[in-house]
Amino acid sequence: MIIFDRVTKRYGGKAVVEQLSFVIARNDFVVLTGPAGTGKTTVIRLIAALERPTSGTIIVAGEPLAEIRRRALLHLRRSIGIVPQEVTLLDDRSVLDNVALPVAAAGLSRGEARSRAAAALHRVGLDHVDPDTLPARLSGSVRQRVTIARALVNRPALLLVDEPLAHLDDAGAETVVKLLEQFVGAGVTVMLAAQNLLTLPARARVIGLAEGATG
Amino acid sequence: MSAVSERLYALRQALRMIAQQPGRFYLSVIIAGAALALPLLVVALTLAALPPWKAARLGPEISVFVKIGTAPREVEALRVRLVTVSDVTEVRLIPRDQAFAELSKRSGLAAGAADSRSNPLPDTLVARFGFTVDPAAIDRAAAEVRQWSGVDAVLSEIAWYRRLSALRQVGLAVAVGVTGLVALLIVTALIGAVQMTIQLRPDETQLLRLVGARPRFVRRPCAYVGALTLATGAALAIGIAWITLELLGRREGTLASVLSTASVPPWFPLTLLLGAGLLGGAVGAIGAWLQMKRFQPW
Repeated sequence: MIIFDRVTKRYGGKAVVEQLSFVIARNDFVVLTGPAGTGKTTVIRLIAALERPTSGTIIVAGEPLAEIRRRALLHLRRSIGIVPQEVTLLDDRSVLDNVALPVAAAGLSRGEARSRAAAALHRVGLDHVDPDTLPARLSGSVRQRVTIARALVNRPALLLVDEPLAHLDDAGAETVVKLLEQFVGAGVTVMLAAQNLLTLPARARVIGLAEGATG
Repeated sequence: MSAVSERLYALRQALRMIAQQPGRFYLSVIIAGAALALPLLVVALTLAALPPWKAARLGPEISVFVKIGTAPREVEALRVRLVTVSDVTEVRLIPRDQAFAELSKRSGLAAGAADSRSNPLPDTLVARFGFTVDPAAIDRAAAEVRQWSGVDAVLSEIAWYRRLSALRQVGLAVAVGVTGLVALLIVTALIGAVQMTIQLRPDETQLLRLVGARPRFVRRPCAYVGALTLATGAALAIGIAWITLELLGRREGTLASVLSTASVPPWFPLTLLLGAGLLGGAVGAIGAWLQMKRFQPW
């Protein structure tokens, strides 16, 4: 599913990721952990082709990212669900419209987008939330789950989750981790970046990153 | 998503963009309306002024004096031949009897006092040229006509026209410059008006990039906002032009008599609306593309 082969990423002269290699198989649950500044977010952005590596090879879903064409890149991004570190919900749109956005962007009809968004909200246990509510009215934990619903709405094969637990209490963090485990059980490959992981998922594989990370 | 529903989605986003900043939209429409009203009024007034201008029978003339004793049939043949000379728009014949009668009247001679048999005046053909013809072309035509048999002399008094022609060339150069400058200002105002209404949000753009949206998915709502802005501005300009012409036409005076006939030609509003809409769409799309490039390359 994902192959990192001696990947290095430098910003200016500083290597954030250095000679990092790993392989993630389909339906794996991988936890990427390490202190702040060790390149967890960078690894996730590299996988989503939001950044280019300084050197090394990255292959995602059989596509070498260095050679990927634009059309294939857009298709790849649509097949990856990304939960960014910061909760990036559009505050002027309803919860349902936020979740439906990737479906609309993928070119499906409004009706299909709303139907899929409702299903995604159900999948993350947000049936009780009014879909027409604006995100600003929701708690941090619920906003986080809305973000996860948005990442799931296009039924991705790969889910990249960047520090989803940072702003949650223990109960909230446990709920999210259990949710991600359910997705893995449903055939989704999950990569979770987390600085502190109190509750390590049972079937998780851990990739530890240190300063100028290796892997 | 069908092409229609994709566009409907973009239209909803465009309306949302406008609704979020209505003040900017109204201001942009006013700017666009004022900028477009100017060419609209110029076109309306030009079209109104053209018929009286054409009817004014202005233009340089040459007088062709026919040899005395030329038969009327030959005089008519000369007239017909003169009509075929390049740039001649009209030829009129002043028969020698008519000229003599007018001369007698002006000089105070009693009717019949002068014997028409002693009339020394020739038949005269007056050829009028178009108002934009080159003075040198008139000189060439006069020289050519002088050679014709049956022609006694050609009088070409066009010194006034030479001066006017020179002035017109200067005026034309100035007019082209001013028109270009005004057109540039209008286009700049229109681009500014569109740019003011399209405001891509970096967070939304980044998010769309994250979920693999095509660039045109981001650009299209901006293109629609641009089209809506300029099309509404064009509608406002049509209103401004109509009211202005109505008010000017009601004033008394010579100018009013021209202005009262001035109206926006029926094909112009639709063309203006479509043209402004297309321009707005293009400017909106390009503006969005530039903003996207600024946030982050797609």
